[in-house]
Amino acid sequence: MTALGGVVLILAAALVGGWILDLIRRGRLYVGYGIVLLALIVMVVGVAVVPFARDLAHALLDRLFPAEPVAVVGLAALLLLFIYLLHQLSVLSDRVATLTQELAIRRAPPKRDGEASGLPEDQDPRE
Amino acid sequence: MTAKAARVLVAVPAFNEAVTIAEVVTRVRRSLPGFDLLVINDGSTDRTQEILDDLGVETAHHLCNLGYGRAIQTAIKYAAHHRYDVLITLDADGQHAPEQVLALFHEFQASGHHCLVGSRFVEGRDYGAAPFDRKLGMLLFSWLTWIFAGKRIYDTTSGLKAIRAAVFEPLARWHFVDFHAEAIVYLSRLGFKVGEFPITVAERRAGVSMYSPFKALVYPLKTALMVLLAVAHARYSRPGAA
Repeated sequence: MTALGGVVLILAAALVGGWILDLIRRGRLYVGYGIVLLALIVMVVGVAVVPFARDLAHALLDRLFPAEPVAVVGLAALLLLFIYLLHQLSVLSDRVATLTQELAIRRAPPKRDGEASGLPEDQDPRE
Repeated sequence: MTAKAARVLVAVPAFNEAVTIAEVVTRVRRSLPGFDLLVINDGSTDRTQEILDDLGVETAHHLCNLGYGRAIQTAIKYAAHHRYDVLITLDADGQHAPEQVLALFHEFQASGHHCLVGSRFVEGRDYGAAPFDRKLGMLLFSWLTWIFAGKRIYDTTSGLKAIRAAVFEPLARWHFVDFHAEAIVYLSRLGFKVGEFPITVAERRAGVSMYSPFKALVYPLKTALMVLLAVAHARYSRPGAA
């Protein structure tokens, strides 16, 4: 990989990492998926920028799966698609959870309005 | 002086706690007669629901298991919906003594905290005989609250908490892992007062901890990440923030 390639990869990783963090913050991506994706990105960048790891990965991948350089574009597209699918899955899961919670609250017997069920603030019930 | 009645809800999230739930309910009813009780049955597949029906306990029943954090969120939404002044959460495994809740509640009312955590470690300020991995996790979360909330909370994973109505809305609005360190940091960053009150807990007698070996590995990562995001999110959530 060229020096420019390394810079582009780190920038792209930072961009995608930022997107993932923002999705998690807004509750649009489950944090567990986010951890896996972020770990994957850190691992890929780590392998790409550490010369020893890069050479090892090169040697292994070249022998097992000799590929055109353009395959990187395909892999990047797959990663983005993967993030998008997990994002949609998280949104769906969040909606199901919200519906389940609402249903649970509505099906719980209602409280009578104005019923004073609590303690006076300065009174101990044992007294 | 006429005291204004504080409506208090004691919420007990339960998932497959058939062995202990009846005793917990009985002890809560006996120790806290002036408080309302709600059990959140988080999609239990054992006899938990049957036992709750027999006991005639008010139950919010999740049709499927959503996890501890969601069960706590259901309790918060329920408390907000029914206009409670205070929500007290308590574990269903019998580790928390309902008899200690009253002392926590009185301290909560007197101190003006928005969230008061029942803490096993605040008095001794060390984690004693806890297993090494747990100790490491609790130290990490405790330091995270120190760094990001400006106050060290020793027992961030405690399930015994008193929560004031003022923080129902922010807690129901955002998503938390288990309402532990990330919720403490989030509330503190929003300017709410969070503190600890010393309690003791009993050994778990039945059921399994919600932290399996795999979860014990992933949970600290998830919580640490959520703590960082809570700091960022609190900036957006503050009143007057864009």
